[in-house]
Amino acid sequence: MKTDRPQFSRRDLLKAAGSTLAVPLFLKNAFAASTPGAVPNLVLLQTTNGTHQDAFWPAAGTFDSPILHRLLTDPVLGPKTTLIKGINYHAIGNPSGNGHDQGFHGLYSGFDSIPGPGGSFGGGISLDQRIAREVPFAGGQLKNIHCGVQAVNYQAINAGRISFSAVGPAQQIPCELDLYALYNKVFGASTGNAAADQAAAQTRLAQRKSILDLVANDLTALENRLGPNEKQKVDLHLTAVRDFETRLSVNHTSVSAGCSSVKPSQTGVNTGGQGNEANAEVLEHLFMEFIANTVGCNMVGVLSFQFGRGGDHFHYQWLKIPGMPADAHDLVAHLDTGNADIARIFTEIKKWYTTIVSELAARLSTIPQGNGKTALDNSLVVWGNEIATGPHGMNNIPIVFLGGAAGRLKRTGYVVDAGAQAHQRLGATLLNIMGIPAAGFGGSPTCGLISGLDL
Amino acid sequence: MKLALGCAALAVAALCGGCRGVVGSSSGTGSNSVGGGAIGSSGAIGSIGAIGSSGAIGINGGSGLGTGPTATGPCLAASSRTVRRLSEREYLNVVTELLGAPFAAVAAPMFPFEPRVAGFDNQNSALLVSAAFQESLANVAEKASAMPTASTSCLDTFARAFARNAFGRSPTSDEAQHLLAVAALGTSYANSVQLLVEAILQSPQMLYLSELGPDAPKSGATTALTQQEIASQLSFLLTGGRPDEELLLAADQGHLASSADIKAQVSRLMVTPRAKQQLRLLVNGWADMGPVAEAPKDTLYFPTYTPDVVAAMQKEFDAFVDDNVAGGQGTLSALMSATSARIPASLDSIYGTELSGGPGGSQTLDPKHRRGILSLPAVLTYHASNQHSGPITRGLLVRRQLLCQTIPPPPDSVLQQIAANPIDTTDKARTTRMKYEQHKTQASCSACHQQFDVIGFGMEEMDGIGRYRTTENGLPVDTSGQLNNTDVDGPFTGVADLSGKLGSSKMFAACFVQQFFRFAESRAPLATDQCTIDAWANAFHDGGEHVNDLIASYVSDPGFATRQEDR
Repeated sequence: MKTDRPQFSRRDLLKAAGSTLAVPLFLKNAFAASTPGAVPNLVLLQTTNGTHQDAFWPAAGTFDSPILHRLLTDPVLGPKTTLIKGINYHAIGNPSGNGHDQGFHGLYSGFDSIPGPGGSFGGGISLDQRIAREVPFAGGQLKNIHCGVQAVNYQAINAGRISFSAVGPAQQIPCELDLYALYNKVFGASTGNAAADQAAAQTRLAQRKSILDLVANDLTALENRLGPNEKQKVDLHLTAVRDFETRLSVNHTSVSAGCSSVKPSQTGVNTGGQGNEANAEVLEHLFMEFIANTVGCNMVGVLSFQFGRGGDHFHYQWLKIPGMPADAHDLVAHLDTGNADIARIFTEIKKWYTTIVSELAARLSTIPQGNGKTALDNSLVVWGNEIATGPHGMNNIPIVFLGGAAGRLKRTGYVVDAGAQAHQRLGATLLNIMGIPAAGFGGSPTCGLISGLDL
Repeated sequence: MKLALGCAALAVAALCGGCRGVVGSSSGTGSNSVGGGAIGSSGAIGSIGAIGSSGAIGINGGSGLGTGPTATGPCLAASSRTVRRLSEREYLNVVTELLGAPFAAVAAPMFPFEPRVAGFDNQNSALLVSAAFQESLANVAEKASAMPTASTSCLDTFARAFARNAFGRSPTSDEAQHLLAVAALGTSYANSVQLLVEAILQSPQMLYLSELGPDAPKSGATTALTQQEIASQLSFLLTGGRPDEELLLAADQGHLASSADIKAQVSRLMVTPRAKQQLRLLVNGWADMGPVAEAPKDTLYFPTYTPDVVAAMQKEFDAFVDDNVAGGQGTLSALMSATSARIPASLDSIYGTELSGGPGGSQTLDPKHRRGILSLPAVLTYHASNQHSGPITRGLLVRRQLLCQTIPPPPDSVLQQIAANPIDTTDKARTTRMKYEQHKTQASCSACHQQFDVIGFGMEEMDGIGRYRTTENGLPVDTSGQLNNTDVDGPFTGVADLSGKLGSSKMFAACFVQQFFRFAESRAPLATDQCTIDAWANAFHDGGEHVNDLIASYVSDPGFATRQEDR
């Protein structure tokens, strides 16, 4: 296979994102040495519309491919990248919707999608929400964030495809789109607004906790008046209140003061809903920056991110690909069935995603976390896709692991290729990596873990 | 007059008979399930589809008019006891009443994006308090506490008055004491007021619409709602917010106990500006319309689709709805037969030579082409592709949303065929219809597409931003359409003709009633609700299809003020 001279460097990536390679001071000072055996930070990324298989997977005996070239040939990132080949979507029964619905909701939940009002929805709790519930993250951490770019309804159809995160069957958790609100949430709240008067900050904290206690007590009283179905709804609310209260209660001095200055490198970008594809490119970069900052500052346990909605219809006008039709879903992904020109366009689109994901990994690799380790070493970024191929093929879903998962991956920098494996094994494996013993995942309680992965 | 179609016709009827075994086999699961069961191969209306395990009919299920209450008695179904989280819109309406519109405008973008479900934003099943929502709520409450509030010299007075407007009832003694205990943590009087505001804005009593009945031991299978709960039911339906003082007083005095009392309040509230907004929301939900601005267009195909045009489309749409719903006195027939009368100047680029009359004056449109809500550029734009007219999208709108029929999503096997047989929307040698007509030649496509393509094709005289056309790509546009599996089957030509046929359809009217049920009850109707919906549909039809007749049916229904035990 012809390979171009590696043109990519972390410096290039960060420059492309409007930053410099220099590690920001706040991140240099943000961390103490990581605790042995600490739970890694988990980042779940989901892209849509599959990939061009031939250009994605390295040829046997190699560790390079046209789509992943920038990532795999990077001297720092390549050795910390693991490709999981052979993951096939495995329906438990008769999942609702088409491949987009099934994979979008199924990849990170392990459940069949189910029908719901206006579309198909997740059939059970998603991985991010389960981890948020079950992993005892440090008290000051947000347990989870689910965010994305343009994860909104394309038209008044397929209502379920705006978020794969769910706390139960069809109980969708919205995907947070407002980057600036997220910064405010993560870095504003956790730093006590830089209150000069610590006593005043403590008073304010006591006030907020008192209000939340009142809310929790009222919810408990309400719960006692309800039947089991209604109780679930109020219980979810109560859990959210308690989680929020726990996070408020963190001793702010334990969080690096440097992280209080974390800001997005660009302000004023419209993060709104439909019709802002013009901003999609810059938002993807800014969200990678946000994820790196958030994970780097150890502010969240599990963060999930959607590159758009399920079965997205991005046009990718910013890529200026020669011959690019106006709709990458219907006119590119669906048509990737042997047409060389379509394959070229599809591959170029997917290469761009590699650039974006590489940018995230590069940022994490520049954040020291003590003992010679970086945030990339102490994290696991999982880059998945709702389907395998543009025309809704569901076998060989492209799955990429980046990072060392705080030492829980014994080996990185290779292709796991142990034959066909049910996609539920991905979730089961991630649960175990996060410290939750699990023999299976979602609708497949005994599926086992990914074969061939050195844990 | 009772209509002939029996209750069986009202059950879920999934079309696409030829897809049986593939797409007709979905089973209802969970509380949000859509009953999309298999039907006979003919796909004929009247077949009874399988109902999901929860018994949900779902938005797309059922159509036609049934018998309603029978000689053996009235409909007995009542909704279950529940608490429904307010939608962000409703919450912000309450905040507006408490703290003013400027603060509500500040608070609105602080909440996470909240999707509509089947056209409506108030659906109970989707309104949960996620971690993200809780966080936003706490932050909104904190920000709100800095807002100036009506000054009183007494914290207790302030707490009770503010909570009364937020809760839609006076706080109990315990609630007031608990609020004052929080206020006691304040470092000053002003700070205590702030804490009260912050606490009340996060309280479950404000955030949820209670349909529980009195907090007392239950006797019997059903529970009567409290007077204050009835007041909130009314106000959220008609104003999208908590009761005003007059309604609260009526509740406190027990003056919402009779149907006549309630109808008097309905008459009063229906003339408020908020009621006009609520009626717009009803029509928007029924037509599955979001803001026109949510319908992006590829400027390569529609270079004249400017922000001015988008705003003008929205303005015209809102005016059309206001004019023809007419505060509830309007009719469904008017919505389907009227021609837009208030046309913003910026729509000149859309209507072009269709407009008669001088610029700036009262311009008119030819009802031969422009008749009914479906002929509005806003609707034609929202329900279209971003590159073309979207006949499939439009056909599905009619089937799913306006006729309440189930069309399942395409199975993977069909999508594979689509991939292998692509429709090139950039092809300038054929019309959009010609490109999509290949659905007819492939059995796997035609089984479903025959149900809606022919409807969308009949609207092909309107392009993707609602411009009338007789040619496309230099070829004549074939605007002949066909309705089948309805009670007004037959050919039609163009949007105006389609509107006329639908306007005369009893199934169409019954579907409107079903959508009203979803809006009013904040949930999809269940199989057990069918008798009630039948009764409303009959009254709606007999009364001339006035929107306020539906509201009257709803508030006078025995189920309006009672609930059964939740499961």
